[in-house]
Amino acid sequence: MRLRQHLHSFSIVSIIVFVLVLVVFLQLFAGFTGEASDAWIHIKEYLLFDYIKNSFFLVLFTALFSAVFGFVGAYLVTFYEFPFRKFFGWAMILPLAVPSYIAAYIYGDMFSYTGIVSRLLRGIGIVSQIDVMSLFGASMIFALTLYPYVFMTVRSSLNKQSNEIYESARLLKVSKSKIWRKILLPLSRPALVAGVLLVVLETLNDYGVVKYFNVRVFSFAIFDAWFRLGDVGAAIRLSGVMLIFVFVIVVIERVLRRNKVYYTLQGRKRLRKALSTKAKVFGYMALGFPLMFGFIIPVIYLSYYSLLTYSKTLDMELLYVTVNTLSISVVATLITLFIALFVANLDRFTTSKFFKRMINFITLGYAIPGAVLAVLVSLFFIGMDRDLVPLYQLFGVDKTLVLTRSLAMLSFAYILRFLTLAFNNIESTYQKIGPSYTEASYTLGQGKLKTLWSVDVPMLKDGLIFAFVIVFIDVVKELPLTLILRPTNYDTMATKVYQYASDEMIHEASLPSLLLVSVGVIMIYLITHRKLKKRVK
Amino acid sequence: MMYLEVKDIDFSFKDETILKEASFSMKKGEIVALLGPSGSGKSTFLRVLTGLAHISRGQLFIHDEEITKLPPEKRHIGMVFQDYALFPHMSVKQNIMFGIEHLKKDDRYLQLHKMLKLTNLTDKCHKYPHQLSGGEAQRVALARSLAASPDLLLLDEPFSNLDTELKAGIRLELKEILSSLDTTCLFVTHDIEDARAIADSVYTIENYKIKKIENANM
Repeated sequence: MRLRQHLHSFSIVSIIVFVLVLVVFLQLFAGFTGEASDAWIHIKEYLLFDYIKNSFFLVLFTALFSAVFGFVGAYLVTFYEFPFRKFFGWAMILPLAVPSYIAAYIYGDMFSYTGIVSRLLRGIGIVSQIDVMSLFGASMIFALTLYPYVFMTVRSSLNKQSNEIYESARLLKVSKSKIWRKILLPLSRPALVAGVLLVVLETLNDYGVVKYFNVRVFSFAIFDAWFRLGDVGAAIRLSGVMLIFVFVIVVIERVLRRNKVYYTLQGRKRLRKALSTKAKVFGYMALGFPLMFGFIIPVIYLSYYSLLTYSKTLDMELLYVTVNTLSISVVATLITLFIALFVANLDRFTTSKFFKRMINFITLGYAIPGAVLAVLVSLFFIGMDRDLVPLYQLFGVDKTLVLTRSLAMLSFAYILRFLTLAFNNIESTYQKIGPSYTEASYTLGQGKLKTLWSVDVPMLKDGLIFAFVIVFIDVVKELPLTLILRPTNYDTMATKVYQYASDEMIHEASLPSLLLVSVGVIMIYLITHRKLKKRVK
Repeated sequence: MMYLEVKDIDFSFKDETILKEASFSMKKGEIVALLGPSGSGKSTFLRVLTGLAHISRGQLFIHDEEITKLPPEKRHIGMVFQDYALFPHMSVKQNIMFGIEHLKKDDRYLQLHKMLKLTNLTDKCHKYPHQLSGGEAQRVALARSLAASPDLLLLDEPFSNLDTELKAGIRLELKEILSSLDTTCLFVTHDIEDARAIADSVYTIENYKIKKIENANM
């Protein structure tokens, strides 16, 4: 009977997802059982240390730069009043629309020997070339395009902090630097760490930047082992080591976020201080630098080269690629949201420790880098196809690989990877709403699905839209998963851009890149301005 | 013959015992107040009755029918929440009709008009929750629960969001409404005056058990 109490639509959907995720992850252990190949022995002996070292420094530099860009920006727009503050409030998020690999192609080109920056430098007599195609350059690219994660989480946390805390500190004649050290940073630490973790996970997920800059980190190594050396076993073993690396990072994040306390803004509205002239210069530089290099320059570059190359690239194929990208992104995002809604509902009301742990496991996906997930999902689908051959034959299908490299497989991988993002957004909106509306509906005799549809969904509308946008942007931009798992001859904007860049046709990549960025900008505008409008109301 | 019977129930939350071998009963049409300070487990007891919280031991009966293992939506127990939990995206009319959608259209509207008249909300029918005063919101929450003709009505701190002046009038109104419908009602309060004004008998939670306070109306 207790089992029946726990079995309902929310738990059944969650259990199905759990089983699928579990089976996918079991592929990793299965891959370790075979004998180590020569390629793996070579990698372990001579290359693994470099992969670990490079990944560590790439993550470290990216985390530091993005923390500075994001935190300082969020601090300025929250605590100070200055011209264009509102503009910066939403514009600082725009670099999120620029995929890191596109920024890498742009800056790689601009700083190349024939690029505009090198030419300008030579024009003023500086002959030495700035090498951006390095580990340091890659981390700067990641920080410039990913810092909005830090900006958003920190700003949201600062907005919730009580103004009186800072006012009482000032009345106690505490110096500004001490307020930073003793109040601002400790109170913002959970948000800062959470934002930086997102940046780090995105950095580890990347394949486009590290491939183009030839920075030998884990995702580079996994692709290399699989596609150049043709050794899936070595790719799985590398995935295992990479997961340990990710696990260590997640543990560090948990330790840094311990004793988290949330302060809510009560009482009076925050009175923003005016910036002095000297501080204004610093403020505009601190806000302008990441916005300029993370968004404005890339967009100008892409617009310029799109105009120069559109006669070659604006064709039916681009339309086909755009339709592909938008359709699969919408479908995958909607399914992800649907599943996340069910899982979040189970999470809200369950008292079962098993279900709580199960949900933690289901929502691990975002921490798993795309290259690793692609390996595991591929193996899972190949195995499934193998088992289903008799069924295929029954329906007269001769092929042995039907689901492998199908759109179903690609969508499945997207859902697994981005379920965490959707779940977190829905869960936090549920927390704001509280359980009483749903409970009231139950006591009025309405069942779970009716309540979900009539009460929860209308009340979650803003959270759902936000979750849709965040997941949609990520699916549209996603490169490693799409590259490995897409059906043959199936391109999305991301793979098209990658293809141009691989063929050294960076300028021709501009138009699809610009389209990709535009999708992101429209989505970001939609959510930021929807929020602003609501606030004005 | 008792209408509601609670037999030897145990309930704990995060390893903290709230109720242990607790029993309780009510007669049909009786109005009972459950009195006690914050954190004593009063609201939790209401959640146990509705099925929103699960007991680890014991049995619950309404009209001799065991409801212990039924989900909340099948217990026919209405509840007015402390914050009223009016659905903000629905009008007063939609809120009231939410729990009676299974009725035929004519019956549904008949019930709606009956509830609006009873709670004196006819002119607020098309308003939304944010357009209502505290007293009006409370009456909508009450009308919504009563519309579904529950076997038992639970009220969680029904007066906590109202100011003192409003409270006296609303207490009286509530008593009249409940009596006119012969509703069996259990309400939770921390104010002895609320209990005295409305309840036929008063109980409290002490040492994890529900105990009657004799002479509470004196």
